[in-house]
Order: sequence, then C-alpha cells, then structure tokens
Amino acid sequence: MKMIKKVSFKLNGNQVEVEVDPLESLLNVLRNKLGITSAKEGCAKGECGACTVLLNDKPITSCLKLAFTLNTNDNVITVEGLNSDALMCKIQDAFIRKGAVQCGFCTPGMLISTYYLLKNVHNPTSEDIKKYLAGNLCRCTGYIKIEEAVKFAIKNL
Amino acid sequence: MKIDSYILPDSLQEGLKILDSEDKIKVIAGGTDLVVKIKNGYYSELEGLISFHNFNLDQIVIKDDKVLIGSYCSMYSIAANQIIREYFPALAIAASQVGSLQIQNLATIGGNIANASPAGDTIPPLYTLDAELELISVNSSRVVKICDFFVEPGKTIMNKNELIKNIILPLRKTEGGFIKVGERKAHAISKVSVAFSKEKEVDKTSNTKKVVFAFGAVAPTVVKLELTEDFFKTLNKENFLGQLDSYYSVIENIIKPIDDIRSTKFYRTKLAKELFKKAIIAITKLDV
Repeated sequence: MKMIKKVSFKLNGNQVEVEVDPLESLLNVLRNKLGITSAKEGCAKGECGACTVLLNDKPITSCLKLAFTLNTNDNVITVEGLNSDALMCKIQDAFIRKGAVQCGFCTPGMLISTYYLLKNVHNPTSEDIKKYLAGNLCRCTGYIKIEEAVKFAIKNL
Repeated sequence: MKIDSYILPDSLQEGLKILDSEDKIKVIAGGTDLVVKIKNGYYSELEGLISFHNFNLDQIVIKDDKVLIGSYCSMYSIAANQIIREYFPALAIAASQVGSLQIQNLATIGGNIANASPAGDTIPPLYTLDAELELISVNSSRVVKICDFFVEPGKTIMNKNELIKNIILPLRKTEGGFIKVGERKAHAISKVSVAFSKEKEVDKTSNTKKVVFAFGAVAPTVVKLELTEDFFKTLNKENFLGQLDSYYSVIENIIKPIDDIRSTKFYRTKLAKELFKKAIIAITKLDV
C-alpha cells in the first residue's frame, strides 16, 4: 500500500514529478506547481470547460481530476505544449482573425476542444462543432465568432 | 473537510482489505460527482480516498452469454465500444449524453451507479437491459439485480466495504434509445429521462420480444415499464393516440415526480408521457 505524496506524469512531452495533497486537482498542480497558466479555473466543478486539457489525447476538465490518481504513463497536454503544433497554430490564428477572443478566459479550453475535434472528426459539420465545444462556456462572445473561427480553421487545414 | 490520505493499493485484494478495515475512506473513480460533493461540504467525516484504477477494472468483455462492463469504464469508452453500440444502444446513447465530452472522459459507469442519483443517466438503460451488478468485498462477492440495488436517492444496498466490480448484461441484441430533457444541450442533469430497449430476438421463455422502458428523475429510484411486442403490432397511425392514452394513465400511476430545483411535478409528469410517446415513435418508426 502506498500513501502517495509524489506523483509523476508526462506534461507536454516531459516527465514531471510533484508533491500533491489528497484533494489537489490536476488544474491546481498545473497552475501552482508546474508553471502552466493556460488552463483556468472558471467554476471548479467541471461545468465551464475553462480548465480543459488533454489527458492521454482526450479532453478532460482538469479541475475534477485528482492529481494522485495520475500514473507515470499518463500524458497531459496543454496549449503551452502545442505552441509549435501546426494544427494548433492554425486554430489560434483562426480565433484571432475571426474575433473569437474577447477576454480570453475561455480561450485555452476552447482551443483544446477544437484541437480534439479537428484531430478526430473529418470535415466537421456545424452540429459537430457545437457538440464538441458544448462543454466549454463563453460569457463574452455569444459563441458565433468561435464557431466561425473553427470553420475558418477547417477551411485552411 | 478532513481528507488527508489517498490510497493506491498494490493489489485489488489489498485494496478490499483496506476498504474493509478503514472506516472513514471512500472509493473514488472518475470523481466527477464525488469531488464536487466533497468541495460542497458533503462527506465531511471522510478521512481518505482510495482508488482501484490500476486493476484493469475498465475492460468490456464477453464471457459465455454475458457482457461484463468493468466499473471503472469511462462513459466515453462505453459510448464508443462496438459491443455496447451493437447490443445495447440505449446504454451507448445514454453514456454519450452524460455531462460533456470532458466529463465523459473522466466519469465512470461504476461511479454513476454508486452515486445513486435518480437522474443518473446510465441507470435507466441498465434497467431496460436486465443488468446485474457484481459486488466484491475482502471475503465475499455477490450479484445483485439492478432493480434491487437502489434504496433511495444517494443510497444503495452496498455495504461500506463493497466495491462494484462489473456490470453484467445478458448477451442479447437489442434496439433502443435514450432521451433526456435538461436545461442545456450538454452538462444537463436530467429533469426527466427515458431509456427503452427492445429485444431483437424472440425470448424463448416468453415467446415474444420484450420492450422495456425505464424513467429517470421521476421517482426516488428509476421506474420500469415492461411491454411486449404485441402492443406494438397493433399500433398504427389511426389508433396511435388512443392506444397511447391507456398507457399514459399507467405511467401517471407508477411515477412519483416531485418539485425541486430542476423542475416541477406537473412538468415532469407531462414530460414523462411525452418522452414515452417519442420512444414509441422511435421504436415503431410510425410517421405520426
């Protein structure tokens, strides 16, 4: 039996090791101990999507993922880790061009969800876009420009 | 909030021993309900959390004439699984409508069941599929029918030292679906839900095809309504509404909806009938 104090996992391509408390979320660990600021705390209960990161290539709300349940082979990817990724660059560019960023708080989460959509769905429809981004709330834009940005990114793939 | 220990046992058996001997610990799986509840002040007496995610409890396998779904299977893995989609579409559809994609990648079917919310989305489909639960503890194991498992909202017949290991479904092809109504397209807790499954092959004992409906969020536990194919054989466009009317009164008698923060008794009663009608249309494909 292990009373774990330290967890180790892969973050943006690097193995990291960090001490965690029992109730400490992955989001907390990322922001306060590992220098990641893209993922944000919007609601702390998994409903707004501002904390969305990829865990083993799948989007999760990191505010609900307790860090102690991470394994050495778990792979966490945040927007920082995709700065040189061609697809992510196209998505970021599209968001900027189409005015899909106002306060920017929801944006990292939106980018991750969009990235996941474009990686997994070929030629996504409007319905697909809405479905894959349904877990990300935005209080500023009214979503229309975000959807336009995603469509613009799709056109330029 | 006194939780100060988190336990990753070295083996399933060791974990069950700890679950048996430690009083104030609780099993965590995806945490999408539990973490929120803890943050909101529930389980204030808890001192530790224990996770069994390292013991391959997230597999879906066929064994003899049964399908075993591991309790740590995520909603995503259930929604995407070929066996579930082909044999138990009601369950696959329900899993794909839990929360959001982000939640589906964390939330587990074991957690959804153990949380025992009347609005838990995978539970009504399991009622329609005659699901059983394999519960294990340090020195025992038992299989319980899903309809015998729930006592009231948040309460099940599980003992403190028990863990849900598998959800067991009979390997019988069904067609079916799941409809939920909530405030949003995603992240919606059901005001009312209905699951329905129709056997694709004639059952040898009853010599008919069973059609089972299960309503969520209209009573302290899920409400089941079982029909046979004979009902559907007589349905047509002309008698549709009249035939449905007789079942509306049945539904009114078996559901016990309440007023709460999400909806009202009045609305839920109307919704339950309307969703039943939608389910019938989906099964019969009548153009009404």
